[in-house]
Amino acid sequence: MHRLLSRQLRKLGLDAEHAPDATSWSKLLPIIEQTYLDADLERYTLERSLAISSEEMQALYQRQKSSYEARLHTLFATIQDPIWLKDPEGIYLACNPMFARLFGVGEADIIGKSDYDFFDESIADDFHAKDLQVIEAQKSCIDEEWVTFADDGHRALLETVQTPMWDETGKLIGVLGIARDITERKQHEQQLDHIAHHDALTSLPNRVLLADRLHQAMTQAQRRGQRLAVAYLDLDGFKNINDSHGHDVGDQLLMIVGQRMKQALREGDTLARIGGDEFVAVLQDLTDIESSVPMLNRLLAAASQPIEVSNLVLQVSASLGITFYPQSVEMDADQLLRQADQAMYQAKLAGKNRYHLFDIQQDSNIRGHHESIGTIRRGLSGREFVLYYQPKVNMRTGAVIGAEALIRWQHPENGLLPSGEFLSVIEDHPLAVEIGEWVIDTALTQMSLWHQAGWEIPVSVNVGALQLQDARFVTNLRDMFVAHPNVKPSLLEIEVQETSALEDITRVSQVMAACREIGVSFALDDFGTGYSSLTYLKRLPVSRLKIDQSFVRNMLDDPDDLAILEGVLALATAFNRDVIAEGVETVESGVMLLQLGCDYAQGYVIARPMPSHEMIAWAASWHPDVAWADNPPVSPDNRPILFAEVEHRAWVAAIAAFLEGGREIPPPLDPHQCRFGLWLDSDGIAHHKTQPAFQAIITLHHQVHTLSKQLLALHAQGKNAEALMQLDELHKLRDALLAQLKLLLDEV
Amino acid sequence: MQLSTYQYSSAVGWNVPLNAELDSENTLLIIFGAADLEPLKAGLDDLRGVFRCALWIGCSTAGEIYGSTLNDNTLTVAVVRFSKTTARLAAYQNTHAASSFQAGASLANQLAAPDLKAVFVISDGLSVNGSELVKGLSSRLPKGVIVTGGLAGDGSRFQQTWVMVDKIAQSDYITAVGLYGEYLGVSHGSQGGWDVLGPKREVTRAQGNVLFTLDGQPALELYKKYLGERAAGLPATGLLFPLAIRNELEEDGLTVRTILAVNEEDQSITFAGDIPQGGVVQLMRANFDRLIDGAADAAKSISLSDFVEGSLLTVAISCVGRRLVLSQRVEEEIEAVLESLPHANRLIGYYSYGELSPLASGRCDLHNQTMTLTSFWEK
Repeated sequence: MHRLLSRQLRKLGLDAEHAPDATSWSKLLPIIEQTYLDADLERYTLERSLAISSEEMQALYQRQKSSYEARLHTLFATIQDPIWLKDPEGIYLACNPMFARLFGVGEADIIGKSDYDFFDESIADDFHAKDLQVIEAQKSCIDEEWVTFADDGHRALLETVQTPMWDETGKLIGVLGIARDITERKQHEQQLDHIAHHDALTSLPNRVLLADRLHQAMTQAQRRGQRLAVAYLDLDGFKNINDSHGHDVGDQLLMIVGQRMKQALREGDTLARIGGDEFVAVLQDLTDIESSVPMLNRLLAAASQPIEVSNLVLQVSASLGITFYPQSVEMDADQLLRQADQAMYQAKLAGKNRYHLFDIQQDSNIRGHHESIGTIRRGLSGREFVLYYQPKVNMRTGAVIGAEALIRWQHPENGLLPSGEFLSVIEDHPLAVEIGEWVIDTALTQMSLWHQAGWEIPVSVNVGALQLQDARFVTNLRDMFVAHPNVKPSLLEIEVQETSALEDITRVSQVMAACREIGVSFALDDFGTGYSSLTYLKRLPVSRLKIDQSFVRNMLDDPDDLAILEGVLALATAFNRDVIAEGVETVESGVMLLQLGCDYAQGYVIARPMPSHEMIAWAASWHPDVAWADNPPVSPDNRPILFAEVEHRAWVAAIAAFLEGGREIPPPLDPHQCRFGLWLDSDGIAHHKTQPAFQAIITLHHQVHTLSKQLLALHAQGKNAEALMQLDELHKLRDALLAQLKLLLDEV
Repeated sequence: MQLSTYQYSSAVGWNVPLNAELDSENTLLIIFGAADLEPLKAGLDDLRGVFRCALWIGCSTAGEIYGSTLNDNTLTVAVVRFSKTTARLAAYQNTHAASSFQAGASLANQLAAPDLKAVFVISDGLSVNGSELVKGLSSRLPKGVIVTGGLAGDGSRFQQTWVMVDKIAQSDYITAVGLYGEYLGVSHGSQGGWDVLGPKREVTRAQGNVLFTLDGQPALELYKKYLGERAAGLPATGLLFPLAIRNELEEDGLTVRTILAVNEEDQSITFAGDIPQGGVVQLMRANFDRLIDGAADAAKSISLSDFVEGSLLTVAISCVGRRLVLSQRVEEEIEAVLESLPHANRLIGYYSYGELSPLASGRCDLHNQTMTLTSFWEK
């Protein structure tokens, strides 16, 4: 029984088993009626409320749906990205106005059609294949492509996202495409990329891009079995321009020089600016080291061309350090750059406006010696260094005019080592200053000892750039003289290598002036080898020039060296400086020097460097070679005879070299075509034809040429050995001719 | 704790003799009665004669619950003599709904003490904003104090209610009894069982507990549309469609608001608690079985884990809206409650215009359309 009915019965004291009496029945009926009424009312309320709420929900749904559709439509119509929807067969189901612009038609003209209605078959095939690919992949595919909008013809780079679309039952609707114009973004990216990888001033690649290119080039060189060169380039004199004309001018110069150097390179090469006035060039595809030389020269030339900036004509030059890849050992890009940097430094030292190849062999030697800085220091504290002295003499008078103190290492294991074996290791090391001071102090001690022994001789010591530019140099020197009171400062000469890194010439000049006040004089060592010889000569208060031994050694065989030597002597005279020739190894060299007016000399033909205790005895017993007596300086008018002599030596030497295989072609065989012959026919005949020796010389000259022809003929017949055996004969004829030339000089 | 429950009707008189031994200064007398007390005057005088020292609290109803039965025009009384618990009464004369917050705060201040365990509130059913009353109480009471109670009723007339103050039935009062001491056991449960109906609607205009428009349309118009021919029974028939208000804390679920009055002039509806402007509300509708299940669930959620034996009193406060909907079946929800409680339990209660009970988060709130139960015992 229903719970309610049983309660209704219970409340009236009734039960289901017994029929009610009339009274109870009349009470029960209204109650039950009320139940039905309640139920009716309840049903009415429920049905009504459900109907109304259902209507409300439907209205709400319609409102939201139309509002959603309106929003979607607005979005679709106003969005600036092309949007389209194609069915799996490629028929357009929908597209927005932006997409229609691509085709240059209205949206209605596209829907229901396919790409085949708008494009060539092959292009439409491509599009369709792409759609199928997206469907196959079952996920979004992203593409980038350049397209032309048919409506206004503008081109744009579009990033297209194509997505397969399914309905709620999982059935494929087609492919939805959304394209975005990324032209500007790409341009920005490219700009940013350019900024990140290029130097803002010159637009050349920066260090970042250089690293990248260098890595690529190294990989490529490895793969192709080719070489690449890394050139580290630093402008000479740029700082001065910046300082005197301002950064704006300096910047413009950098831009112009950068462009010029870039143009000097080939297409595939890289020129990067890696800071201030430093550039790095990567030269690719080199078959060998030599093939880089023309480009290096072009770079140097490009850097050193005059530049017009703000009505100024400026000029700089470049110092280049080169290294190559691959090398015998594994190299990374940083190591290559360091090598090239180091070589660039050497180019600077060697006088700038030049290139210097990184010496791998020397580098590994230096590396090998690196730990020997400690050994050298121990050598110094262990008193293993000694000074040897090489005399300097006046060849004409036979006077001993001084001695150069030269450091030697009495190595406990390796024996006596010349300075070249260890000084280069510490060139840029503070130890060089310590050793330099030891040299001066030891030389002064020796001079003091000689003084006590009653002998006095000027002594020169070599001072390196590092030591000379040391702040305490002058003070220390002064202190050392205080410690050696009986040594006259005027007896000490300091030799400074011209090729030393005398970077701050003003400062060096001040140091020299301060030393001269003490009484110490200066000599410029290795004069003529550096690029800035004239600058040094003009700016530095040196009293003596030492002509580099390379010129002295070759002057008898190489007219060019003789010309340099003569020029240096003329310069010394003009600047009122003493001159001494070093490296005099033959009596003939001495004669030539005397004839040129250079009386002071130093070299093996006079004496090798010796221990200090041998010096006094040597000085007492030395006499100049007899050949040096009576060799007055030859007047400038007669100098051509000296050159003629050298020309002749050089010609004979060339014949000999040809026969010995050291030369591919012989010198001119016509006696009127060789340079000596040219002299004979011009200056010789004009000034000396009346002299008895002159005729003899002509005869001898012909004989020399005749014999030479015979020797060459033998050589041509394959009888080279026979020809070589007759070289002595040729040399005798040469010497006879030279003797006559000497007579010619004596007679004038 | 000693407990007796009594029922009085003019026809029968007291169902059992009153036990004077229960009277003491530590005795609480809870009385629910018809809005019109005139026919019940003799019974009331009996009580005044027997329970002189006891603290009286009670109110008029929309139906009195005694055991499993629902009755009208009776007095339903529970007399509780505490042995280890003390009780204290507080009252506030609240003539305007606007001062409901102060009323709550004042009552809390009157009752506040360190060992206050529970507060049982009985308020006038018409001149009050139950939401503000609860806020006022909460603003002053410590968090652990359990606050339950209800608003007085006036059948389905919504004209005048009374509250027992100084053993006299008076309008426009809010009263509360504070129960103190660690030996008091108290637990509560409250459930609705209504279903939401139709779309969510935005409260576009409301002021306090007066609602003007939903989604820009007059609220009264909407109610009339739903009620159809039953709109003539407003405001009572409005109880068929309470409003669900979404609470800020999700765990607190929906708060149900029931209609107290309608105003044809400005097409507004007055609810028993606040309707927040801008809030989202939804109409609700009854489902007999779910309402009855809800009542059972309220009983089941009462925690009696530390009740062992002795007397147990449960006060049921159910909403007049439920009675209107359940009609003849209303006693089924009372039976459902009883079936879920121990046999020792004695149940009295009434149909109200609003229920007070904590939410799941512990925050007390005003409810409508719920079965709200509070059980008391001594450990």
